[in-house]
Amino acid sequence: MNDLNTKLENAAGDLAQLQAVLGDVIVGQEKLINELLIAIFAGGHVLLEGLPGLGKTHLAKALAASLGVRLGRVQCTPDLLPADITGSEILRGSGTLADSMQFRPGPIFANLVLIDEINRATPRTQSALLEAMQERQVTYGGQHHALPEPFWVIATQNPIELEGTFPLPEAQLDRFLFKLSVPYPGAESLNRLLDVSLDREPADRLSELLDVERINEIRAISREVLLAEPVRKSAVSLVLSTQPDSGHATGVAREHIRYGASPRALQAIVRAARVRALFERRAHVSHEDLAAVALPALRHRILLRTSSELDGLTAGSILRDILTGWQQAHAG
Amino acid sequence: MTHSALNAFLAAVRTRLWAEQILYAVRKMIWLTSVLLLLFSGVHLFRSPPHPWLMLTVVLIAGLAVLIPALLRRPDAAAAARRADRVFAGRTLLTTAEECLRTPGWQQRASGQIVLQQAETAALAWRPMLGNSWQPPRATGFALATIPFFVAMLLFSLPGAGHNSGTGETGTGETGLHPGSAVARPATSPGNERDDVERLREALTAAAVQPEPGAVKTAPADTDLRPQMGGEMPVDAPEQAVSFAADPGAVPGFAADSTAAEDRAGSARSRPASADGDPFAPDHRFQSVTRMDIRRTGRTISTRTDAGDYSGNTDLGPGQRVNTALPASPPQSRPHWTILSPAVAAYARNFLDRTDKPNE
Repeated sequence: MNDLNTKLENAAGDLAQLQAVLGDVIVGQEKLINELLIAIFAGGHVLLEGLPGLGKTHLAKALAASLGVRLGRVQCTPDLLPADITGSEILRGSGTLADSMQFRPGPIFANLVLIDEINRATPRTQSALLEAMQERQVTYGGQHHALPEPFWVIATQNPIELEGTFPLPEAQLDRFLFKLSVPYPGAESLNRLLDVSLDREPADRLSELLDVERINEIRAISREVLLAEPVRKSAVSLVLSTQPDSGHATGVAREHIRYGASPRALQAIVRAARVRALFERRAHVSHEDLAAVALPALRHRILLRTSSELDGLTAGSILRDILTGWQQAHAG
Repeated sequence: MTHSALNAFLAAVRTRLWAEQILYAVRKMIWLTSVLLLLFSGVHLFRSPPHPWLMLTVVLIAGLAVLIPALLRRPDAAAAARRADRVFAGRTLLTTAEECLRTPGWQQRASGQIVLQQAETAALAWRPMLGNSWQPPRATGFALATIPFFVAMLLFSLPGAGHNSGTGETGTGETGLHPGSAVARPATSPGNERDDVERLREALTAAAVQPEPGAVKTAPADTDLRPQMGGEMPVDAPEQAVSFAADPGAVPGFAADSTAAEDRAGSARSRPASADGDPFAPDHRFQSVTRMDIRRTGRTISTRTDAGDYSGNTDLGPGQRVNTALPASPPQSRPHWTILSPAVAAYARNFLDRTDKPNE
């Protein structure tokens, strides 16, 4: 027990240190960094949505540097092909054709893959990511090529300039553990930004804090965090409350939601809540952990009615209403 | 590891939860019984007074149905853990620890042992603040719950719907036109004088054909207008008479005497002269007698009836005395009411026919 207690303390310490270092590089985004780290150590992919110039790419680079993992980067354009992401076979050597064809891995063969403006790629190209994100492998020419472990995808998208873009299909959206909104920094943060990143990229200065082995250890410790029965039931109730046809649905959900969250959302919430409990130096998940990870885990998994969207409602506002009612019912 | 501090803390919170549960059940019971009594009082006002045993049974069953489950169902440790987490901001620590204690696999896990250790520490720290977990219902709730009870008591004190349906309970006669009940009802206004007289007439008619005396309870004594229902007539009453309403001129053969002045004042005793078939012939024997005084006072007619078995002589007037003795019967068999003999009944009926006129 003492051994795990020590491990738990050490893991929480490493996470706190990682958060602090990234906070120095990406100014004024503490909450975003915390949620990103939760998703990473829960083993999930992240979709970052924010205006241009808020440091999304910079954050991904800083994260890769501090984790000591290889970064792959894909800049999506409408003419991007699936093979540009996954890789393709090329002809090398002078032997027979079969012997000369060699699979050349694409940029997706990295631990942390940054896919910029994913909504600019065509649906065909976007679908090339589906297998990679879910099964961590790429199939080309009938052959499966495993992706490295650990493997994360951090995709970014721009909420404006939607001309010529292709919204991500629900099937692909569901494969992201979290969808995080990058907020605009405040005046104080902008002021500090000038000190930090005026003349050079701070991510270039970051040294490796953790390695792959340590990352896997921390992930294994997070899987040991206990989930009590009342908390488990609360998580189920939370997911069901987004389903308009279920008995747990609130009036808001029935009125505004067309399709609610899937069972994969429940897994995402619980995995993320365990990591958050680890952040707090706890060996058990609380309702507070569930509430903290619910919004980023569910925001992209519910589909609103057209009339509600035309009224200006967003998934985030609906979910906040649902969460408020859920917290009152399960406070403690 | 025994986790004694954690177990003791949870047991203490559990006891408080149970006590709260009982108090809430008592409050609910008071509400329920008060509202039921209020409903019964409504029945009392608008229909008929409910039977006391029925009310008691219903109220008792309803109250026990609420209270007994609360007494028998003691909250479990999981509920105590949830209450402690909520009160002391435990963030599900005690809830998880309690589940560790009863889930064998969890106690062996390293994370389970960490949780239990943290819970032990928390239980020791929270023990002095145990009173914070006590959240009983407020006293005002109990006070409010008694309001319907007091309203019900107030409504029960009012006369019920069956109050004017007839004083003087009827006896075994099916028609309800028993002389006792009919004559017991006083005339309380000019408007129902005639009704009273009519009822008297009907009673006397019914009595005339009734073969046997019925057992009737006497009506309770009441105001001046109500008849004074005595029990038994004294055996040796010095002067007893069957007397009728004071209007000497209306009764054939009615002997005018010094009591005529009393008639005008409103009381009278009639002493009819003997005649053939006259029930007051000296040698006439009664099977049973109902003594009846009908007084006319002002605008009201009141009746005063005494019932009982007579024995001894009846003075019918100066020099007139008739033996109206009846076979003595044991007190327990003595009915409170006796019917008029056919002759007397006929005489009284005749009288009423003649006196059936509105009061001045």
